[in-house]
Amino acid sequence: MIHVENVVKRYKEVIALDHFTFNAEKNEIIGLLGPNGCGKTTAINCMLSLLTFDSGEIKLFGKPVNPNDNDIKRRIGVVPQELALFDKLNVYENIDFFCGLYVTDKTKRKQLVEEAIQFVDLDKYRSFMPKKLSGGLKRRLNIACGIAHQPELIFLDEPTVAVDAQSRNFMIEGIKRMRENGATIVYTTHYLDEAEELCDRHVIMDNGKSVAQGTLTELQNSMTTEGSLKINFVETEEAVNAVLKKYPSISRIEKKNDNFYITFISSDEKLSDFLKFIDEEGLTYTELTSEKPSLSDIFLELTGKELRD
Amino acid sequence: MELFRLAIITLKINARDFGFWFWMVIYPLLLATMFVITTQNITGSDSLDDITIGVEDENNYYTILSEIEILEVEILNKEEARTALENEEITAFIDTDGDMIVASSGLDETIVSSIVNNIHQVIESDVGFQHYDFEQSYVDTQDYSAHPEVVMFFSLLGMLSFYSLFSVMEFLTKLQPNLSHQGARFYASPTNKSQILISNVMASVFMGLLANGMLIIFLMIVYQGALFDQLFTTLLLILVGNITGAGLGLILGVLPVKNEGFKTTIGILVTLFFAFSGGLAGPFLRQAVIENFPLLHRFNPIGQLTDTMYQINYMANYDNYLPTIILLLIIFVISVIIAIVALRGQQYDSL
Repeated sequence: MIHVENVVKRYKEVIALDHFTFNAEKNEIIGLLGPNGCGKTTAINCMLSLLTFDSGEIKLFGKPVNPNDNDIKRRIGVVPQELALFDKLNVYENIDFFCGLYVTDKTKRKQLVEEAIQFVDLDKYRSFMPKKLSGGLKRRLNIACGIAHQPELIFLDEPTVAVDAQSRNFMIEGIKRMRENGATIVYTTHYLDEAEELCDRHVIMDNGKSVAQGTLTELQNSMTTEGSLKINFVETEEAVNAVLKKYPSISRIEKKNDNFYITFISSDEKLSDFLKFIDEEGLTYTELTSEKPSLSDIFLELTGKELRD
Repeated sequence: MELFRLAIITLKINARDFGFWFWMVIYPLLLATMFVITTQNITGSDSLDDITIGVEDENNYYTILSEIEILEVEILNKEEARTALENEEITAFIDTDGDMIVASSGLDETIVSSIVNNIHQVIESDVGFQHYDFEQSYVDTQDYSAHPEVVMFFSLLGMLSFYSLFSVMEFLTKLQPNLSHQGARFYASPTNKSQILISNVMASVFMGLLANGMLIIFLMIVYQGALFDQLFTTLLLILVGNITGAGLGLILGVLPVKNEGFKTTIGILVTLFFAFSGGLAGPFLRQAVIENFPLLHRFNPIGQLTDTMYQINYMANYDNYLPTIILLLIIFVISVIIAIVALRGQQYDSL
């Protein structure tokens, strides 16, 4: 469905996409993840032919992208990061207008607009102007405008940003339904728990490159750390830290609530060796759980913890 | 069919925009009302009170001047005249040789000067005074200086014709991904961009005509139709003016500036400049432009529109009608070419 190979995009000295490569199969949700400025939106804009790129190849539906290929465009839906609505058109008219850019048949369009309104549950608000809608409702309208024509391939660029948990959950369920209806979705977000729940595969980007991609299990298996231990110690934080620092193969120690999360450098680390060590050091624990790294752990491991611009 | 759907949506967007109603309807009507009020003072009856002038004793002009209705003539010697002029008791003094002396310049002085010049011409032409009827007007048309408000009204109509540029500019800015959020949606869609543009131009021209129509109706009510002797051909000119305005909107729309306020300011300044130099600031500035910057006047679209509207309605003169339409259409075509060239690069280097 999507084939992106070695795409390079430069803005003068800045390389926005650095030999970026990824593929997406029909009917899957691909999470395009990465810190701010890593090139996610640039990648989407290149796939949509909005941006030129310096080298590499992008194919959608098996055909190279071309800004004049309306047959390909007709099969694509776009939900941009920013709200792209008309203030002077009401909910129904906004959806109808953008749907009309793809579907000229009036009867069919009317049916599609109704379906889109039901899909984002905006029926009560169909005659409302966008400025009368809450942030979450505007986001839902923004999605409806991009998917009303029922495209096969949908680009959703941070659609849930700045919405409440209820609206977010509603949107996530809606996106799952789109996949069930046969759509392929490229999804960018900063909410990694959301991506973990929603996406079939993930592409983690940093500095314009794809630094890792695969299913969550594949990413977990590819990590140097097998996982982390969650331990509840009886001793004070200072005492525990002083002891754990002596253990050579620990890469990270985090304290959350009453628990310590300990990550090891090597996946070959034996739990029995570590338990023997803390026993010898005189630490007492009340609870111990072994955890696989979350998408967030993997993301931070790959992209680092330092703050980005 | 799609053209009309898009045009109707543009009409809806404009009709719900207060900015449209203010700039296209309220603002021109306010200006027109202001012109009506202020220019009434220029041509009103107050300024046509009798003008008192002095003539030298035994002056040959006395008889003629005394017959003119608006003049009140006193016989004064030069000394008395000087004092009377200084005290503003008389407007002008005409000596035995027909030379006119004034203490200041103004409308009354201009009227007296014009009469005295007429008398000079009669004398030079050797026609006996007894054969000259000063009440009879042989000139069929009236001149600009006699009707300054007329030039201003036509200029206002000309300026308003060009206001179609704002709607086109705003929509075209929204059409481009590097200038607006909606632009990404437009460019990612299979819709023909020129179709969207044409529909927007159609809608904007229609809205422009509507706004012009309201102003014309207002002026027809105020002047009982006196301004528009040739209404149909005037409307045709206004239609072409709106089309040209839409063309200028295309150029402003493709300017790579995100700030719509900045583009609107440019639009307002350009139209105001053309309108002011074309007659909106009164016939005197217009005359100064014609004398000092003839090329500017020749290619000032609003100035030409103003002149032609005046000429066809007040002088039944169609000499400039076709050239003005051609000039406006040339500006439109050039604008479209510039916009299309700018829009042809449908992919962007950066967004």
